[in-house]
Amino acid sequence: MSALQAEFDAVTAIVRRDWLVLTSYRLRFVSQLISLCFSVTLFHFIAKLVRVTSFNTPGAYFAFALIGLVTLQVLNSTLHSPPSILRGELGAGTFERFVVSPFGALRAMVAMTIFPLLYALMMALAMLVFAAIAFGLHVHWSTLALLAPVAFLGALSFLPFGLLIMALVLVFKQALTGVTFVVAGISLISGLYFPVSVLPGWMRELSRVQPFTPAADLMRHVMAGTHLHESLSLELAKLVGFPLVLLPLSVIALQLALRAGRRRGTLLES
Amino acid sequence: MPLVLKGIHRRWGRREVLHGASLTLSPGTAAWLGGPNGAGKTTLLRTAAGLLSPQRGHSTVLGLDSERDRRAYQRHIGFLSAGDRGLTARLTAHQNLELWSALALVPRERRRGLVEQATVHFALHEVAEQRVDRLSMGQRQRVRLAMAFLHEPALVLLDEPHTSLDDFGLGLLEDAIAQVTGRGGAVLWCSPSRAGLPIPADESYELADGRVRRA
Repeated sequence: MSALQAEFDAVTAIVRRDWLVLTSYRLRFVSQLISLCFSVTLFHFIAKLVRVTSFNTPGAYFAFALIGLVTLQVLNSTLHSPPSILRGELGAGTFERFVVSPFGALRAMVAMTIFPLLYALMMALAMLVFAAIAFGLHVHWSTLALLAPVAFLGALSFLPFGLLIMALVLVFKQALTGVTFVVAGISLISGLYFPVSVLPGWMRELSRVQPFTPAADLMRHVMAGTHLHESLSLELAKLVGFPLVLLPLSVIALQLALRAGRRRGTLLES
Repeated sequence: MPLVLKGIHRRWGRREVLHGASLTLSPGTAAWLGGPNGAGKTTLLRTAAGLLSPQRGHSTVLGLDSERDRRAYQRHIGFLSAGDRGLTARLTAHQNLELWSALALVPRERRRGLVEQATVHFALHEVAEQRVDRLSMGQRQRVRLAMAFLHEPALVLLDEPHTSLDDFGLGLLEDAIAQVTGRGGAVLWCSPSRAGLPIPADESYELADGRVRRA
């Protein structure tokens, strides 16, 4: 029991550290919040211009795009933030502490994904609250409570991609530039700002074989009552299936990257 | 034995830095490892610390193998790298120690006591609540040393531990080493030369041609 407790404490110590580092920059939280409010405001006005058959009202498009923004927050928190933190750790020499500790670098890297995710969920909630108060976002209160588990499942299905990028950072030390392209590509094919039905056929196919589309789709469904592109069971199965298959694979990739780094002596290089 | 390094090989590119390096430290031993720049001291210490896998040979601590018994092995290691890195700059000295005590998997009931003990031992009380990026280099080095000794490891590996320390700091380090050897642990510290350094060493070794020799 005390061994498990010590492991849990190590995880919470890393989450606490990330929180303390964030709050040590006093303006960062406020500036991020303001920037998100600007994004929400921007889409509110863009929505006023939208007159297409896919959306009956500008408000419907606003709700659609807002969930796209929320998904992008979670996406960035899993794909971009942990590898960025890892790059920082390698530069500052703090990653060495993880490697030399009995808690270990692998667990530490997984733990490093928790705070960015919690933070992104908190920011996402702030965006929704702001949109509801400032622009009267229409919310489906009856299913809203399901947003948290759906967002959690979505984040879990994105996590393997973040871990894989961390493995790439360990091996090549330079994977972050590619992440920007990946995130941009994902936001295109998963229909974060527009329905995937407007995409060309081959791109629509791509949108079916990744977890980002069902995550955004389900979040829209529970929050704004939009129609699902596929059946509820299929979308849920995708959201559960992707992490079930990909999480163990990404952990193995991370393990191999660590082992190779220790063997080649490049693990601590920045 | 607190440390057995046997036939360690390590090649950096074409250059073989360690060529069958072997070293055994008995309980209660403080040892110095010397050698010119580039001789492989840091590489050997990092191998013993579990940061590098030996390309050939093996490293054991209290009979635990660095590869096979990785987690148990790391529990017994305290490590100080050369330089001034390895601290989370935006955290206070106390928060850095707390973080390390958790990563070292110190049981919850002992954590506060050990953090306090390390704080007292390395005279960090006055700076405990200051962010480490606002400390002097010598104070930072004391925080880093406190982390290496905090969890009462059986083997402490110190790479140029005297860096930035004044006489007072060197005295604290001397006491900490004496405590480890006093409870049957071992300390291996390295620097290019020992001249003028008051850090204790019962045994002295040198790295030459990739092998460890008695100095």
